[in-house]
Amino acid sequence: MTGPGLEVTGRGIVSSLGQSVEAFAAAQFAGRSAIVALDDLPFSVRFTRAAPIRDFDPSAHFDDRNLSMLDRFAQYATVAARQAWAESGLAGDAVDPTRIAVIVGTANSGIDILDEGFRRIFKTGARIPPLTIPQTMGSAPASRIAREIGARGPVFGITSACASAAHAMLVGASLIRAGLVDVALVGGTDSCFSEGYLRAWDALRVVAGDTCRPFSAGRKGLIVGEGSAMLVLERAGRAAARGARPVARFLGSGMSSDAGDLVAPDPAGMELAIRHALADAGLPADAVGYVNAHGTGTVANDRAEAAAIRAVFAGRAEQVPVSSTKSMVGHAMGASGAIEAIATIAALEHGLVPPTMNYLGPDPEVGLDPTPEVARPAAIDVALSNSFAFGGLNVSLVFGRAEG
Amino acid sequence: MSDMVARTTVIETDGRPSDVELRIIAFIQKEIQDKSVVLTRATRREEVAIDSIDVVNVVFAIEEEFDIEVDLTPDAKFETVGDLVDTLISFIPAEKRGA
Repeated sequence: MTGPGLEVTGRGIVSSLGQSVEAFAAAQFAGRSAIVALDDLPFSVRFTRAAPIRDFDPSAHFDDRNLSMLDRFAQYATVAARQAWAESGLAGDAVDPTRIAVIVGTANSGIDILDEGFRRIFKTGARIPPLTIPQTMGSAPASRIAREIGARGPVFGITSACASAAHAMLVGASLIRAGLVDVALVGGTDSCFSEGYLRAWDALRVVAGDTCRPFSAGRKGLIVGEGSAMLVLERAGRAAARGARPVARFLGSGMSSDAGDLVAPDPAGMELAIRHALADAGLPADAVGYVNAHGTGTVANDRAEAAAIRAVFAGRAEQVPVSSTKSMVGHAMGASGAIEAIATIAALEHGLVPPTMNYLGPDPEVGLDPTPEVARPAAIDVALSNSFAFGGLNVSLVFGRAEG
Repeated sequence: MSDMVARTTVIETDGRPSDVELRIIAFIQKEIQDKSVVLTRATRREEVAIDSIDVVNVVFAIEEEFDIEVDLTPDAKFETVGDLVDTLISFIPAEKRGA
Protein backbone atom coordinates (compact mmCIF):
# COMPACT_ATOMS: atom_id res chain seq x y z
CA MET A 1 0.00 0.00 0.00
CA THR A 2 1.46 3.36 -0.94
CA GLY A 3 1.38 6.09 1.67
CA PRO A 4 1.14 5.52 5.40
CA GLY A 5 -0.20 2.30 6.89
CA LEU A 6 -3.66 2.51 8.40
CA GLU A 7 -5.29 1.11 11.50
CA VAL A 8 -8.84 0.55 12.64
CA THR A 9 -9.03 2.13 16.08
CA GLY A 10 -12.75 2.10 16.82
CA ARG A 11 -15.85 0.07 15.98
CA GLY A 12 -19.57 0.41 16.56
CA ILE A 13 -22.54 -1.65 15.47
CA VAL A 14 -26.32 -1.67 15.59
CA SER A 15 -27.45 -4.99 14.16
CA SER A 16 -30.09 -7.65 14.50
CA LEU A 17 -27.35 -9.81 16.03
CA GLY A 18 -26.38 -7.33 18.74
CA GLN A 19 -25.95 -3.65 19.44
CA SER A 20 -22.35 -3.76 20.63
CA VAL A 21 -19.25 -5.24 19.04
CA GLU A 22 -18.95 -7.72 21.91
CA ALA A 23 -22.55 -8.95 21.61
CA PHE A 24 -22.30 -9.19 17.83
CA ALA A 25 -19.00 -11.10 17.90
CA ALA A 26 -20.24 -13.55 20.53
CA ALA A 27 -23.41 -14.20 18.54
CA GLN A 28 -21.62 -14.74 15.24
CA PHE A 29 -19.13 -17.19 16.74
CA ALA A 30 -22.01 -19.05 18.40
CA GLY A 31 -23.72 -19.25 15.01
CA ARG A 32 -26.82 -17.52 16.30
CA SER A 33 -29.20 -16.41 13.58
CA ALA A 34 -31.21 -13.20 13.78
CA ILE A 35 -33.46 -14.39 10.94
CA VAL A 36 -36.98 -14.62 12.37
CA ALA A 37 -40.56 -15.07 11.23
CA LEU A 38 -42.13 -11.86 9.91
CA ASP A 39 -45.47 -12.55 11.51
CA ASP A 40 -46.38 -9.03 12.56
CA LEU A 41 -46.51 -7.18 9.24
CA PRO A 42 -49.73 -5.25 8.57
CA PHE A 43 -49.37 -6.05 4.85
CA SER A 44 -48.43 -9.13 2.90
CA VAL A 45 -45.31 -10.13 1.00
CA ARG A 46 -44.42 -13.56 -0.33
CA PHE A 47 -41.43 -14.09 1.92
CA THR A 48 -42.04 -14.86 5.57
CA ARG A 49 -38.65 -14.43 7.24
CA ALA A 50 -36.20 -11.56 7.67
CA ALA A 51 -33.66 -10.15 10.11
CA PRO A 52 -35.14 -6.90 11.48
CA ILE A 53 -33.70 -5.12 14.50
CA ARG A 54 -36.40 -5.71 17.10
CA ASP A 55 -34.93 -4.14 20.21
CA PHE A 56 -33.67 -0.72 19.14
CA ASP A 57 -35.30 1.96 21.28
CA PRO A 58 -34.77 5.36 19.61
CA SER A 59 -35.85 7.27 22.73
CA ALA A 60 -33.02 5.62 24.68
CA HIS A 61 -30.58 7.43 22.39
CA PHE A 62 -32.31 10.66 21.27
CA ASP A 63 -34.74 13.20 22.69
CA ASP A 64 -37.98 14.11 20.89
CA ARG A 65 -36.51 17.12 19.13
CA ASN A 66 -33.63 15.11 17.70
CA LEU A 67 -35.93 12.26 16.73
CA SER A 68 -37.97 14.73 14.66
CA MET A 69 -34.80 15.31 12.62
CA LEU A 70 -33.46 11.76 12.26
CA ASP A 71 -34.93 8.95 10.19
CA ARG A 72 -34.22 5.46 11.43
CA PHE A 73 -31.15 4.89 9.22
CA ALA A 74 -29.56 8.04 10.67
CA GLN A 75 -30.39 6.88 14.20
CA TYR A 76 -28.66 3.54 13.63
CA ALA A 77 -25.55 5.20 12.18
CA THR A 78 -25.30 7.78 14.95
CA VAL A 79 -25.50 5.15 17.69
CA ALA A 80 -22.89 2.99 15.91
CA ALA A 81 -20.64 6.04 15.44
CA ARG A 82 -20.87 6.93 19.14
CA GLN A 83 -19.62 3.43 20.02
CA ALA A 84 -16.79 3.61 17.48
CA TRP A 85 -15.71 7.06 18.63
CA ALA A 86 -15.71 5.90 22.26
CA GLU A 87 -13.61 2.82 21.48
CA SER A 88 -11.07 4.92 19.56
CA GLY A 89 -10.42 7.09 22.60
CA LEU A 90 -10.39 10.14 20.32
CA ALA A 91 -13.17 11.92 22.21
CA GLY A 92 -10.79 13.53 24.67
CA ASP A 93 -7.91 13.82 22.21
CA ALA A 94 -6.81 17.01 20.52
CA VAL A 95 -7.56 16.30 16.86
CA ASP A 96 -7.69 19.18 14.40
CA PRO A 97 -11.43 19.16 13.58
CA THR A 98 -10.74 20.13 9.96
CA ARG A 99 -8.77 16.89 9.56
CA ILE A 100 -11.59 14.55 10.57
CA ALA A 101 -13.71 12.98 7.80
CA VAL A 102 -17.12 11.34 8.21
CA ILE A 103 -18.30 9.22 5.29
CA VAL A 104 -21.41 7.07 5.58
CA GLY A 105 -22.69 4.73 2.90
CA THR A 106 -26.37 4.05 2.37
CA ALA A 107 -28.33 2.24 -0.31
CA ASN A 108 -31.76 3.50 0.71
CA SER A 109 -31.29 6.90 2.36
CA GLY A 110 -34.28 7.99 4.47
CA ILE A 111 -36.72 5.50 3.06
CA ASP A 112 -38.87 5.17 6.18
CA ILE A 113 -39.83 8.84 6.29
CA LEU A 114 -40.27 8.87 2.51
CA ASP A 115 -42.49 5.81 2.65
CA GLU A 116 -44.52 7.37 5.46
CA GLY A 117 -44.83 10.63 3.54
CA PHE A 118 -46.13 8.89 0.43
CA ARG A 119 -48.51 6.80 2.53
CA ARG A 120 -49.94 10.00 3.99
CA ILE A 121 -50.19 11.73 0.60
CA PHE A 122 -51.73 8.89 -1.36
CA LYS A 123 -53.60 6.86 1.25
CA THR A 124 -54.70 8.92 4.19
CA GLY A 125 -54.48 12.50 2.96
CA ALA A 126 -52.66 13.47 6.16
CA ARG A 127 -50.02 16.17 6.41
CA ILE A 128 -46.34 15.34 5.95
CA PRO A 129 -43.94 15.85 8.86
CA PRO A 130 -42.15 19.19 8.39
CA LEU A 131 -38.62 17.78 8.50
CA THR A 132 -39.23 15.11 5.85
CA ILE A 133 -36.72 16.56 3.39
CA PRO A 134 -33.72 16.76 5.73
CA GLN A 135 -34.55 13.28 7.04
CA THR A 136 -34.57 11.73 3.57
CA MET A 137 -31.09 13.00 2.67
CA GLY A 138 -28.56 10.23 2.17
CA SER A 139 -25.98 12.51 3.77
CA ALA A 140 -28.07 13.05 6.92
CA PRO A 141 -26.23 10.40 8.99
CA ALA A 142 -22.85 11.91 8.07
CA SER A 143 -24.04 15.41 9.00
CA ARG A 144 -25.43 14.24 12.31
CA ILE A 145 -22.28 12.33 13.26
CA ALA A 146 -20.07 15.26 12.21
CA ARG A 147 -22.09 17.51 14.50
CA GLU A 148 -21.74 15.13 17.45
CA ILE A 149 -17.97 14.64 17.15
CA GLY A 150 -17.19 18.11 15.79
CA ALA A 151 -15.81 16.92 12.45
CA ARG A 152 -15.22 19.90 10.14
CA GLY A 153 -13.34 18.16 7.32
CA PRO A 154 -14.76 16.14 4.39
CA VAL A 155 -18.24 14.95 5.38
CA PHE A 156 -20.65 13.30 2.97
CA GLY A 157 -22.78 10.27 2.15
CA ILE A 158 -21.89 7.71 -0.43
CA THR A 159 -24.09 5.35 -2.39
CA SER A 160 -23.36 2.17 -4.32
CA ALA A 161 -26.24 -0.10 -3.31
CA CYS A 162 -24.91 -3.07 -1.33
CA ALA A 163 -21.27 -1.92 -1.60
CA SER A 164 -21.99 1.53 -0.09
CA ALA A 165 -20.30 0.92 3.27
CA ALA A 166 -17.28 -0.68 1.62
CA HIS A 167 -16.89 2.27 -0.74
CA ALA A 168 -17.19 4.61 2.27
CA MET A 169 -14.38 2.76 4.07
CA LEU A 170 -12.24 2.78 0.94
CA VAL A 171 -12.75 6.50 0.37
CA GLY A 172 -12.03 7.33 4.02
CA ALA A 173 -8.82 5.32 3.88
CA SER A 174 -7.86 7.07 0.64
CA LEU A 175 -8.34 10.52 2.19
CA ILE A 176 -5.97 9.60 5.01
CA ARG A 177 -3.43 8.11 2.59
CA ALA A 178 -3.62 11.24 0.43
CA GLY A 179 -2.75 13.31 3.49
CA LEU A 180 -6.04 15.21 3.48
CA VAL A 181 -7.25 14.04 6.89
CA ASP A 182 -5.87 12.31 9.99
CA VAL A 183 -9.01 10.49 11.09
CA ALA A 184 -11.92 9.02 9.12
CA LEU A 185 -15.13 7.78 10.73
CA VAL A 186 -16.58 5.53 8.04
CA GLY A 187 -19.22 2.87 7.55
CA GLY A 188 -22.75 2.33 6.37
CA THR A 189 -26.36 2.27 7.43
CA ASP A 190 -29.77 1.26 6.19
CA SER A 191 -33.26 0.76 7.56
CA CYS A 192 -35.15 -1.82 5.53
CA PHE A 193 -38.56 -2.54 6.97
CA SER A 194 -40.95 0.01 5.53
CA GLU A 195 -43.88 -1.42 3.59
CA GLY A 196 -42.82 0.06 0.27
CA TYR A 197 -39.28 -1.23 0.58
CA LEU A 198 -40.24 -4.80 1.51
CA ARG A 199 -42.84 -4.93 -1.27
CA ALA A 200 -40.22 -3.73 -3.75
CA TRP A 201 -37.90 -6.58 -2.73
CA ASP A 202 -40.83 -8.97 -3.02
CA ALA A 203 -41.44 -7.74 -6.56
CA LEU A 204 -37.82 -8.49 -7.53
CA ARG A 205 -38.31 -12.14 -6.49
CA VAL A 206 -34.82 -12.72 -5.13
CA VAL A 207 -35.80 -13.03 -1.46
CA ALA A 208 -35.71 -16.57 -0.09
CA GLY A 209 -39.00 -18.05 1.05
CA ASP A 210 -37.17 -20.04 3.72
CA THR A 211 -33.88 -18.61 4.95
CA CYS A 212 -30.44 -17.41 3.86
CA ARG A 213 -28.14 -20.32 2.91
CA PRO A 214 -25.02 -18.81 1.33
CA PHE A 215 -22.96 -21.16 -0.87
CA SER A 216 -25.24 -24.05 0.10
CA ALA A 217 -27.04 -26.53 -2.09
CA GLY A 218 -30.70 -25.57 -2.17
CA ARG A 219 -30.17 -21.87 -1.52
CA LYS A 220 -33.14 -19.81 -2.64
CA GLY A 221 -32.17 -16.19 -2.25
CA LEU A 222 -31.29 -13.44 0.17
CA ILE A 223 -32.97 -12.46 3.42
CA VAL A 224 -33.61 -8.78 4.16
CA GLY A 225 -31.70 -7.39 7.15
CA GLU A 226 -30.80 -3.88 8.33
CA GLY A 227 -28.56 -1.92 10.67
CA SER A 228 -25.37 0.08 10.77
CA ALA A 229 -21.71 -0.30 11.54
CA MET A 230 -19.05 2.41 11.77
CA LEU A 231 -15.27 2.24 12.03
CA VAL A 232 -12.59 4.75 12.93
CA LEU A 233 -9.58 4.71 10.60
CA GLU A 234 -6.30 6.44 11.40
CA ARG A 235 -2.72 6.49 10.23
CA ALA A 236 -0.77 3.69 11.90
CA GLY A 237 0.90 4.78 15.10
CA ARG A 238 -1.51 7.55 16.06
CA ALA A 239 -3.44 5.32 18.44
CA ALA A 240 -0.31 4.01 20.15
CA ALA A 241 0.91 7.57 20.63
CA ARG A 242 -2.12 8.36 22.81
CA GLY A 243 -2.02 5.03 24.61
CA ALA A 244 -4.90 3.47 22.67
CA ARG A 245 -4.81 0.01 21.14
CA PRO A 246 -5.69 -0.43 17.46
CA VAL A 247 -8.18 -3.23 16.83
CA ALA A 248 -6.92 -4.17 13.37
CA ARG A 249 -4.77 -3.03 10.49
CA PHE A 250 -6.43 -1.74 7.32
CA LEU A 251 -4.03 -3.18 4.75
CA GLY A 252 -5.59 -2.28 1.44
CA SER A 253 -8.65 -1.98 -0.72
CA GLY A 254 -9.66 -2.49 -4.31
CA MET A 255 -12.67 -1.67 -6.43
CA SER A 256 -14.00 -2.34 -9.87
CA SER A 257 -17.11 -2.10 -12.00
CA ASP A 258 -18.56 -4.86 -14.15
CA ALA A 259 -19.69 -2.28 -16.71
CA GLY A 260 -22.45 -4.79 -17.17
CA ASP A 261 -25.82 -5.97 -16.03
CA LEU A 262 -28.01 -4.12 -13.52
CA VAL A 263 -28.60 -7.23 -11.43
CA ALA A 264 -26.58 -10.19 -12.79
CA PRO A 265 -23.11 -10.39 -11.21
CA ASP A 266 -19.94 -10.87 -13.24
CA PRO A 267 -17.18 -13.03 -11.68
CA ALA A 268 -14.54 -11.12 -13.67
CA GLY A 269 -15.51 -7.82 -12.01
CA MET A 270 -15.45 -9.41 -8.56
CA GLU A 271 -12.06 -11.00 -9.24
CA LEU A 272 -10.68 -7.67 -10.38
CA ALA A 273 -11.70 -5.96 -7.11
CA ILE A 274 -10.07 -8.73 -5.03
CA ARG A 275 -6.88 -8.61 -7.10
CA HIS A 276 -6.74 -4.81 -6.82
CA ALA A 277 -7.16 -5.05 -3.06
CA LEU A 278 -4.35 -7.59 -2.68
CA ALA A 279 -2.10 -5.54 -4.95
CA ASP A 280 -2.91 -2.43 -2.90
CA ALA A 281 -1.96 -4.34 0.27
CA GLY A 282 1.19 -5.61 -1.43
CA LEU A 283 0.25 -9.17 -0.50
CA PRO A 284 0.01 -12.41 -2.47
CA ALA A 285 -3.24 -14.38 -2.36
CA ASP A 286 -1.38 -16.97 -0.26
CA ALA A 287 -1.25 -14.49 2.64
CA VAL A 288 -5.04 -14.57 3.03
CA GLY A 289 -6.30 -16.80 5.82
CA TYR A 290 -10.01 -16.05 5.68
CA VAL A 291 -12.52 -14.57 3.26
CA ASN A 292 -15.65 -12.89 4.59
CA ALA A 293 -17.75 -13.24 1.48
CA HIS A 294 -20.46 -10.98 0.13
CA GLY A 295 -22.39 -14.28 0.18
CA THR A 296 -25.97 -13.12 -0.29
CA GLY A 297 -27.47 -16.57 -0.65
CA THR A 298 -28.77 -15.96 -4.15
CA VAL A 299 -27.88 -18.65 -6.69
CA ALA A 300 -26.26 -16.09 -9.00
CA ASN A 301 -24.17 -14.10 -6.48
CA ASP A 302 -22.71 -17.08 -4.70
CA ARG A 303 -21.88 -18.89 -7.95
CA ALA A 304 -20.16 -15.78 -9.37
CA GLU A 305 -18.37 -14.93 -6.12
CA ALA A 306 -17.15 -18.52 -5.74
CA ALA A 307 -15.77 -18.39 -9.29
CA ALA A 308 -13.95 -15.14 -8.49
CA ILE A 309 -12.47 -16.55 -5.26
CA ARG A 310 -11.41 -19.75 -7.05
CA ALA A 311 -9.68 -17.69 -9.73
CA VAL A 312 -7.78 -15.57 -7.20
CA PHE A 313 -6.73 -18.52 -5.02
CA ALA A 314 -5.91 -20.68 -8.04
CA GLY A 315 -5.81 -24.30 -6.95
CA ARG A 316 -6.01 -23.71 -3.18
CA ALA A 317 -9.45 -22.11 -2.88
CA GLU A 318 -10.77 -25.00 -0.80
CA GLN A 319 -7.99 -24.51 1.74
CA VAL A 320 -9.09 -20.92 2.51
CA PRO A 321 -12.06 -20.75 4.87
CA VAL A 322 -14.88 -18.59 3.55
CA SER A 323 -18.05 -17.57 5.36
CA SER A 324 -21.05 -15.31 4.99
CA THR A 325 -22.24 -13.08 7.82
CA LYS A 326 -25.53 -12.69 5.92
CA SER A 327 -26.49 -16.22 6.97
CA MET A 328 -26.98 -14.73 10.45
CA VAL A 329 -27.94 -11.06 9.96
CA GLY A 330 -29.47 -11.17 6.49
CA HIS A 331 -28.60 -8.51 3.96
CA ALA A 332 -28.22 -5.10 5.62
CA MET A 333 -27.83 -3.48 2.18
CA GLY A 334 -25.72 -0.32 2.36
CA ALA A 335 -24.56 -1.26 5.87
CA SER A 336 -23.51 -4.79 5.05
CA GLY A 337 -19.90 -4.01 4.13
CA ALA A 338 -19.28 -2.31 7.48
CA ILE A 339 -21.12 -4.97 9.52
CA GLU A 340 -19.02 -7.58 7.72
CA ALA A 341 -15.82 -5.59 8.35
CA ILE A 342 -16.65 -5.83 12.06
CA ALA A 343 -17.22 -9.58 11.63
CA THR A 344 -13.89 -9.92 9.80
CA ILE A 345 -11.96 -7.95 12.41
CA ALA A 346 -13.51 -10.10 15.16
CA ALA A 347 -12.27 -13.19 13.30
CA LEU A 348 -8.73 -11.76 13.26
CA GLU A 349 -8.96 -10.70 16.89
CA HIS A 350 -10.34 -13.97 18.26
CA GLY A 351 -8.56 -16.40 15.91
CA LEU A 352 -11.92 -17.87 14.92
CA VAL A 353 -13.57 -18.22 11.55
CA PRO A 354 -17.26 -17.38 11.92
CA PRO A 355 -19.57 -19.99 10.41
CA THR A 356 -21.97 -19.90 7.49
CA MET A 357 -25.31 -20.98 8.95
CA ASN A 358 -28.30 -22.75 7.42
CA TYR A 359 -26.00 -24.90 5.30
CA LEU A 360 -27.60 -27.97 3.74
CA GLY A 361 -24.64 -29.36 1.81
CA PRO A 362 -22.14 -28.54 -0.90
CA ASP A 363 -23.14 -27.05 -4.23
CA PRO A 364 -20.83 -28.55 -6.87
CA GLU A 365 -20.74 -25.18 -8.63
CA VAL A 366 -19.25 -23.45 -5.56
CA GLY A 367 -16.08 -25.41 -4.79
CA LEU A 368 -15.18 -23.51 -1.60
CA ASP A 369 -15.02 -24.30 2.11
CA PRO A 370 -17.88 -22.18 3.48
CA THR A 371 -17.18 -23.09 7.14
CA PRO A 372 -20.61 -24.65 7.63
CA GLU A 373 -22.54 -24.32 10.88
CA VAL A 374 -19.67 -24.17 13.40
CA ALA A 375 -16.99 -21.55 14.04
CA ARG A 376 -13.48 -22.87 13.54
CA PRO A 377 -10.24 -21.89 15.29
CA ALA A 378 -7.64 -20.53 12.90
CA ALA A 379 -4.72 -18.19 13.43
CA ILE A 380 -5.55 -15.61 10.78
CA ASP A 381 -3.14 -12.78 9.98
CA VAL A 382 -4.87 -11.39 6.91
CA ALA A 383 -8.52 -11.51 5.86
CA LEU A 384 -10.53 -10.29 2.89
CA SER A 385 -14.01 -8.77 3.10
CA ASN A 386 -16.01 -8.61 -0.13
CA SER A 387 -18.91 -6.33 -1.06
CA PHE A 388 -20.49 -6.70 -4.48
CA ALA A 389 -23.45 -4.52 -5.41
CA PHE A 390 -26.25 -4.66 -7.94
CA GLY A 391 -25.13 -2.74 -10.98
CA GLY A 392 -21.75 -4.50 -10.86
CA LEU A 393 -20.01 -2.30 -8.27
CA ASN A 394 -17.35 -4.29 -6.46
CA VAL A 395 -15.15 -3.60 -3.43
CA SER A 396 -12.76 -5.86 -1.58
CA LEU A 397 -11.02 -4.80 1.64
CA VAL A 398 -7.95 -6.37 3.25
CA PHE A 399 -7.68 -6.35 7.04
CA GLY A 400 -4.79 -7.56 9.16
CA ARG A 401 -4.60 -8.70 12.77
CA ALA A 402 -3.49 -5.90 15.07
CA GLU A 403 0.14 -6.19 16.08
CA GLY A 404 1.05 -6.98 19.66
CA MET B 1 -42.46 38.43 8.72
CA SER B 2 -43.55 41.81 7.46
CA ASP B 3 -47.28 41.32 7.92
CA MET B 4 -46.89 40.13 11.51
CA VAL B 5 -48.58 43.21 12.94
CA ALA B 6 -51.43 43.11 10.47
CA ARG B 7 -52.09 39.45 11.30
CA THR B 8 -51.97 39.91 15.04
CA THR B 9 -55.29 39.15 16.60
CA VAL B 10 -56.31 40.74 19.84
CA ILE B 11 -57.57 38.07 22.18
CA GLU B 12 -60.46 39.29 24.30
CA THR B 13 -60.02 37.93 27.79
CA ASP B 14 -60.23 39.30 31.26
CA GLY B 15 -56.44 39.50 31.46
CA ARG B 16 -55.80 35.79 31.82
CA PRO B 17 -54.76 33.71 28.80
CA SER B 18 -57.65 32.05 26.98
CA ASP B 19 -57.84 28.28 26.57
CA VAL B 20 -56.66 28.44 22.99
CA GLU B 21 -53.70 30.58 24.02
CA LEU B 22 -52.76 28.07 26.68
CA ARG B 23 -52.98 25.23 24.16
CA ILE B 24 -50.71 27.08 21.74
CA ILE B 25 -48.22 27.94 24.48
CA ALA B 26 -48.18 24.27 25.47
CA PHE B 27 -47.24 23.31 21.90
CA ILE B 28 -44.38 25.83 21.93
CA GLN B 29 -43.32 24.68 25.38
CA LYS B 30 -43.10 21.09 24.11
CA GLU B 31 -40.72 22.07 21.32
CA ILE B 32 -38.27 24.37 23.06
CA GLN B 33 -34.93 22.85 23.92
CA ASP B 34 -34.51 24.23 27.43
CA LYS B 35 -37.30 22.46 29.30
CA SER B 36 -36.57 24.42 32.47
CA VAL B 37 -38.00 27.61 30.95
CA VAL B 38 -41.70 28.07 31.67
CA LEU B 39 -43.22 30.10 28.86
CA THR B 40 -45.75 32.87 29.33
CA ARG B 41 -47.10 35.41 26.86
CA ALA B 42 -44.54 37.89 28.14
CA THR B 43 -41.50 35.63 27.62
CA ARG B 44 -39.21 37.47 25.22
CA ARG B 45 -37.68 35.62 22.31
CA GLU B 46 -34.12 36.35 23.41
CA GLU B 47 -34.82 34.76 26.82
CA VAL B 48 -35.43 31.37 25.30
CA ALA B 49 -33.82 29.41 22.46
CA ILE B 50 -36.47 28.98 19.77
CA ASP B 51 -35.05 28.21 16.36
CA SER B 52 -36.58 27.66 12.94
CA ILE B 53 -36.93 23.92 13.54
CA ASP B 54 -38.92 24.59 16.71
CA VAL B 55 -41.18 26.98 14.82
CA VAL B 56 -41.78 24.54 11.98
CA ASN B 57 -42.59 21.77 14.46
CA VAL B 58 -45.01 24.03 16.33
CA VAL B 59 -46.71 25.05 13.09
CA PHE B 60 -47.08 21.38 12.12
CA ALA B 61 -48.51 20.46 15.52
CA ILE B 62 -51.07 23.27 15.32
CA GLU B 63 -52.05 22.37 11.76
CA GLU B 64 -52.65 18.80 12.91
CA GLU B 65 -54.47 19.79 16.09
CA PHE B 66 -56.86 22.26 14.48
CA ASP B 67 -56.90 20.82 10.95
CA ILE B 68 -55.94 24.15 9.42
CA GLU B 69 -53.27 25.61 7.18
CA VAL B 70 -50.78 27.95 8.85
CA ASP B 71 -49.01 30.10 6.29
CA LEU B 72 -46.03 31.03 8.44
CA THR B 73 -42.40 30.70 7.42
CA PRO B 74 -39.86 29.24 9.87
CA ASP B 75 -37.98 32.54 9.97
CA ALA B 76 -41.03 34.49 11.15
CA LYS B 77 -40.02 37.39 13.39
CA PHE B 78 -41.60 37.84 16.80
CA GLU B 79 -40.53 39.61 19.98
CA THR B 80 -42.48 37.74 22.62
CA VAL B 81 -44.14 34.36 22.92
CA GLY B 82 -47.41 36.29 23.02
CA ASP B 83 -46.69 37.72 19.56
CA LEU B 84 -46.09 34.24 18.16
CA VAL B 85 -49.21 32.89 19.89
CA ASP B 86 -51.37 35.69 18.48
CA THR B 87 -50.01 35.12 14.99
CA LEU B 88 -50.70 31.39 15.19
CA ILE B 89 -54.20 31.98 16.55
CA SER B 90 -54.92 34.33 13.66
CA PHE B 91 -54.84 31.28 11.38
CA ILE B 92 -57.41 29.41 13.47
CA PRO B 93 -61.01 30.17 12.48
CA ALA B 94 -63.04 31.45 15.42
CA GLU B 95 -65.28 28.37 15.52
CA LYS B 96 -62.24 26.12 16.09
CA ARG B 97 -60.80 28.14 18.93
CA GLY B 98 -63.01 26.56 21.59
CA ALA B 99 -61.65 23.84 23.83
